[in-house]
Amino acid sequence: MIKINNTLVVVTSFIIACTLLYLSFRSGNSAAYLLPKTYAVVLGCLSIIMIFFHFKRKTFFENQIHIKKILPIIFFITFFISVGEDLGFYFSTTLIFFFIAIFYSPETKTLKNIIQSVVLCTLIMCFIYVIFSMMLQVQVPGFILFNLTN
Amino acid sequence: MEFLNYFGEVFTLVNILTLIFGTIGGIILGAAPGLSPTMAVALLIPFTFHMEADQGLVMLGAVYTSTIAGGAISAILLKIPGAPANIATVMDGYPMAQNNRVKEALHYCFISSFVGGVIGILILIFFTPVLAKFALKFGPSEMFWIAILGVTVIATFDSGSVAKGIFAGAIGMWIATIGTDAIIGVERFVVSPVLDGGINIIAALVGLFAIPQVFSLIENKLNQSDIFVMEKRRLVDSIKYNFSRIKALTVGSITGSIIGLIPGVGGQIAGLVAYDQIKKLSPDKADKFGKGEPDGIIAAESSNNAIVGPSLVPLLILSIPGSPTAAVLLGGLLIHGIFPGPEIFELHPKVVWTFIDSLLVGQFLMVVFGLYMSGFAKYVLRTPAHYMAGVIVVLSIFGTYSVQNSFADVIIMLSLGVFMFFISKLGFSAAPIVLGIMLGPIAEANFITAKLIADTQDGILMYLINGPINQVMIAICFLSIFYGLYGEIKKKKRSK
Repeated sequence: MIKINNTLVVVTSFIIACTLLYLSFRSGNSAAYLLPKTYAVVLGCLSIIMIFFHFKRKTFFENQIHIKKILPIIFFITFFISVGEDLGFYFSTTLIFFFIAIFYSPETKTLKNIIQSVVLCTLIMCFIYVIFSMMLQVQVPGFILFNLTN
Repeated sequence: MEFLNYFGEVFTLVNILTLIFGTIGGIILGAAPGLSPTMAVALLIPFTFHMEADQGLVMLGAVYTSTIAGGAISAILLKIPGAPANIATVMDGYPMAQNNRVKEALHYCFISSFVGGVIGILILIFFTPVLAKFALKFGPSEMFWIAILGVTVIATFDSGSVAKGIFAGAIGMWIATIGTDAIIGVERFVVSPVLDGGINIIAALVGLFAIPQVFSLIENKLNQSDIFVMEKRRLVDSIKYNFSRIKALTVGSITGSIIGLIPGVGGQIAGLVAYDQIKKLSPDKADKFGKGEPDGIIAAESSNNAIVGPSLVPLLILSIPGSPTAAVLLGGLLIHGIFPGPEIFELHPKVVWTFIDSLLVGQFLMVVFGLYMSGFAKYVLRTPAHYMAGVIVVLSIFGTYSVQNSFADVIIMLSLGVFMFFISKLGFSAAPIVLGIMLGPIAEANFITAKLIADTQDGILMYLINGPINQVMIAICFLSIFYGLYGEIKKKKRSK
């Protein structure tokens, strides 16, 4: 679990502001950069104000991230970004859906529960197929499953 | 009375089916704890892209209205508000359920939501064209300030901290500049080929609202074990009692309508203010509130639905959304090429009036289906959080892809979603970022037009600050910032 306090908030804000300031000002003097530069300056000023108030008024902020719980989801998202297009949308999203259903199920992982999840995932993916590929005629990358859509 | 001319459009087969589907779907989504109206509307926007503009807006309007009403179901049965707007409903709704008055409480919710909703939409119908005539005087400088005002107001009211709100709004406006500049044609901040086409509004909307919801569902697993049994209750008795509570209905509807007109203030504020007001205005019942007093539900629910109509008044005329969900609806308008502004009623009368009329018809459908479906609410409430999370991920991916058949949009959506989850943990809100992304291009286009005009006059600065409308809007910007800061300081003092 990651504990978040106000120091982390102001440091992150400062890093975001510095990154955007750097990107905006390294890009030359074209008039197209006038507004991005203005927004970045506003962000820079706000981050400095937040740092000032953090030290002056000891602003209180507390939160937490259950990193162990969310890491698998981040992994699934990274997996999809990396290979989703090559594996095909239906195949990769079915995999992701199935793993989310199994991994985050509060019940004990018995064979019955796993079969139940497989059936449910398949039914929902068939519903998605009917909506997107048949009704809306969206051509998604197909690869292994539902290759007919390509 | 122009709105009467377009009533027929609502009753075309396609539109009425869309309205029914949207209303039923909205009640189900609203009842599911953790799925806010904002997220529901954001998730549906990709679907509307494939529809005609009026049909798409009919769908979004129906979902917007019915998710708020549906949110009361989980507020009453689980003590978990289905939407932030239902926070005040929990206070007397859950105690009523504990006293074996579940069905009665649900009846009051839907009937009061209907009354509040109808009043709010009548305000939308009669107030919007008047404001539109006034707003016709706006030029590029005024439109620039309108965009800035929209972001500022949402930023100061929707976040716990003014600095964080404006910071989030500025991030959104900066993100909006990614991609090829529309006027000069320069590529900006294209650090990866994924960003070639800039940031698609729908990808941003879905990513910023739906994906963080997946993380929240997984982080805070909901306890859905204790669901009450429905008692026998005649609907006629509930209707009679509900309409006998004129004071609670009036307080709720008026509070909601006024708060809805103020940009940036959400339904949760309306519900809580109405609840507080009816409590103060009923000294004889003061000790009953919080223990299952129907007036508490009636005031809160009529108020949170009364904001729907008025929250669209500043949205349609000035591009300033009255609530975070209205901010998402702005995306629904933009993807159909409808730019809100004073001329919207002249340029797109059919689309806009059909949308508004459908909201009115939707209220009737909402009360009918809501009352009928509340009996089956327990099934929706038992949907496990992990399946809901899976469905949201899959729908987000397919929905985003379907808009432009672009995998880059999906990558942007997922990346923004993960980014939003982490910064929401730091106390930043999604609504100002989304609004920044949507209003950023409007601000930029008008700024450049203003600059071209100003270069032949006294310069851009003078051009932007001259004129009474500009000055009023600059004053409102500062006022909202100072008001937000004042509220923040007051809150801190109270907590000490």
